[in-house]
Amino acid sequence: MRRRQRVLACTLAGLGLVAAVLAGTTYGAVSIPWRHLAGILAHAAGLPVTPDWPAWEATVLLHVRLPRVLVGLCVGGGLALCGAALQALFRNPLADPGVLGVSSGAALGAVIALYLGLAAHSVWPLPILACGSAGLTAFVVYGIATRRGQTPIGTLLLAGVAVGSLNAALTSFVLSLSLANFDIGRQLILWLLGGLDGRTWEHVKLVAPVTLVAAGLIIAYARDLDVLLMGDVHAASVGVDVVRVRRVLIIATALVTGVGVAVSGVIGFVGLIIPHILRRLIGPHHQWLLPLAVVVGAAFLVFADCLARALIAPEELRLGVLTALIGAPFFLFLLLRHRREGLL
Amino acid sequence: MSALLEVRDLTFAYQERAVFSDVTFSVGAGEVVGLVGPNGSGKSTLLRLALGLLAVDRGELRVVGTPIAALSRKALARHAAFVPQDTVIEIAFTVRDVVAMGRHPHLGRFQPETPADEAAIQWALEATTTQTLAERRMQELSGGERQRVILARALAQQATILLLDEPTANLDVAHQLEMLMLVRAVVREDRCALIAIHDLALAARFCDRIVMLSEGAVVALGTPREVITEAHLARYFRIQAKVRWDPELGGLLVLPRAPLPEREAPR
Repeated sequence: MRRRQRVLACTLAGLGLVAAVLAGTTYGAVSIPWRHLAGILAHAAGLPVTPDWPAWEATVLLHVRLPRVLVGLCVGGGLALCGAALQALFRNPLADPGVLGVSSGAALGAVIALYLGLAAHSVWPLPILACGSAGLTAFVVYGIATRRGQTPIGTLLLAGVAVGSLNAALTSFVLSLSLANFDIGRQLILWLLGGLDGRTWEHVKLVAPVTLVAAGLIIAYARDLDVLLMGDVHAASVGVDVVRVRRVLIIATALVTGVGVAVSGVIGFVGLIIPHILRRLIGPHHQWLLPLAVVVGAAFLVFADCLARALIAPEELRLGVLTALIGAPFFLFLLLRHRREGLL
Repeated sequence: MSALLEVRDLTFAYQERAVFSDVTFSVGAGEVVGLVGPNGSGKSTLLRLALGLLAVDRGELRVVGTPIAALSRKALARHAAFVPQDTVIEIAFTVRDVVAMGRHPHLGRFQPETPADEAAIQWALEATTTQTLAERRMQELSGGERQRVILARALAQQATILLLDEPTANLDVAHQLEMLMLVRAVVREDRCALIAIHDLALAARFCDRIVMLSEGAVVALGTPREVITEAHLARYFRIQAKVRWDPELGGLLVLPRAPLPEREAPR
């Protein structure tokens, strides 16, 4: 029975991903007909295709829509994957990429870059500062929680909450300083609300390699995560090096979260709800759960982005606002429905 | 008799407080050895050291002839398997999933299960009579069933040494007996078991030899009849007890009667 559910879930997720990419690339203020899509891509790849589309369509697709969709895929897939891995690692259904304070660390770095005006001249300072600050946060949190080579989960979560709150407070501090300057204040707020507008190939180059490599690494630990769900002692007794696995996975998830926030702002709830929905459908086995989380998270965020563009067109709803608006009630629904069974 | 598990001059301190000093004993092939002692005597710590969860300060712990410090976690898990106290598992894994986790130390990161793994899982399910539960979820099981599944997981590891920490705590009497009879049944010539256990009557009934720990030292070592004596129970457990050898049963009858006050314990 589980097997059929898994095959079905994989098929649906795959179709969903294709549909999301098609929607994300063709839908917008100006629509690009589907039949032009393949032609434009083939032409861009250097294949001998005679253009029968207006030149602006190729420009919009290749320089606006495609990078936006690719960044969305990486961020959505990365957030969902990190959520799934961290929930198992901490044996806590509430864990998500924000839990170690890493996303608030990335947000703080980005806000500082915007406030100092570094982001005005090049796309690189903001993501670099965001990643650096995310990494620093992960390092500090892990350092605080570690004594004599042991890192108890409870201490780690508390340290994450504490350092995360400090990051949030500092972010608010920078924000309040910048409110005097309307332009910068507006930029900061837009960024904090999360979004994929104006993403370029530079952003793709930053987020895609890091996300792909770290995702591969995390998925390689699928079996260890299964065993870790049973508890540290069970895991250790079947040969899992609990301390090492935890360290590797925390670094990998911090990287993915850091670059994700760096290129898209603060986007919540993807890492929380996608893994929970998938566990309901296919069970807790990580060799299925983790890859599916990537695919479904990626598709979800690109769809959500289309919705954000459509709802109040010609304005755009901020993506982070939309995911929270969808995510929070949905999570509540899951909680009420499965109150008795537990969530993991 | 070759020793599968050897503990030699083991010393371990936790946060500058000595937990053990110079503990020495061994567990041979085919043996079930009980580890008894009052709370805080170091039973669980000793099992954690043997599992490699804690690092040995001084002395040596050898599994099948190799010091555990020289083994990787996976290699150690192929030699020694662990059954903890009954743990509540709120995850939707099936019984078969959990037993299959015992194959973890035998599998590479991306390696799927082979027929050999499948056979080991099947054998472990049958040995613990859990095959009828295989597709049930862990949350649906009773305490006794759950503990049998955890034992099956340990057996699927095909380790030579079974380490059990209070495997019968939280079980009713029938399930306590069932659990220990299973352990007894799977320990044959090529295996051994070391069981930390509070119930002295059960320890006497199921163990070939008993190691009595008190304040981090081995205070008695031998057959149940040699170790579980009224004098030892008074001195190390601070209880007044009746211990009788029953020739008809070929076993010890242990009746704890009353705790002894700290000072007036006979010396």
